[in-house]
Amino acid sequence: MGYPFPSEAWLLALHQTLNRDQQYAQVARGWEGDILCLIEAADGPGWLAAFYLDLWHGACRGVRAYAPGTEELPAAKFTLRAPLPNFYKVISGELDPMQAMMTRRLKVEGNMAYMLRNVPTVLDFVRCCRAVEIEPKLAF
Amino acid sequence: MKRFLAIHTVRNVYLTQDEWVEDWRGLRHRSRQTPGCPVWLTSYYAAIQGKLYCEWEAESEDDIRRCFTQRELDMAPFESIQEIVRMDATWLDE
Repeated sequence: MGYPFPSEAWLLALHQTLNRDQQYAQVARGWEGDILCLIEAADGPGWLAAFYLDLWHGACRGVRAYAPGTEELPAAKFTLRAPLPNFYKVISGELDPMQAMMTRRLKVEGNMAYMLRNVPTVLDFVRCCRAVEIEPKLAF
Repeated sequence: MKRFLAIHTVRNVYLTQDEWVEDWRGLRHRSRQTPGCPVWLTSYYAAIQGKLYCEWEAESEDDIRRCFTQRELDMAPFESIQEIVRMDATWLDE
């Protein structure tokens, strides 16, 4: 079953996927840090959706989706910010996450040293994102 | 041009994305202005082991060493630079 992206349904499916995935539990067992994903409009200011994920020791303790217009977003250890096409390309497998970070197609606010030391966790998190089917597919 | 594999031990990691991207971009640009014009082709990062494996095209090992600032060498000193030859395993499928 597929979920529209970005949507709360997709985020809830990712929450389930992360908590059911034994490989993620193992690889991310040392990870401590919540993530706020800000999906920006492709053209112009503002954001289309914001996803908050509380990731802790190989589990996802909670998620929350925020609609545009929300005044206060939570402060997270990491904020990932990108226009919708770039986010979509990363989670659909078209764009490598490391390449996206290195070229700033995916902007990262937070301790980069922690992120780089935990590349296997980052890659496995993206693998779980890719396991959640998106429907309808988007074309950019 | 010869090909080299430079192996770095990563001692310190960049604190911000901007610092990382700007420094790596600077290295790539700097290499083009270094005598011999060595070319940094690609890198593989082993995060758990803290190693960085970088493929270069250059006339000599010294040309590669000259591209780096002292700060970069402090962050990720060379463990070795070895001349290598590329062998494409996909040809075995033919």
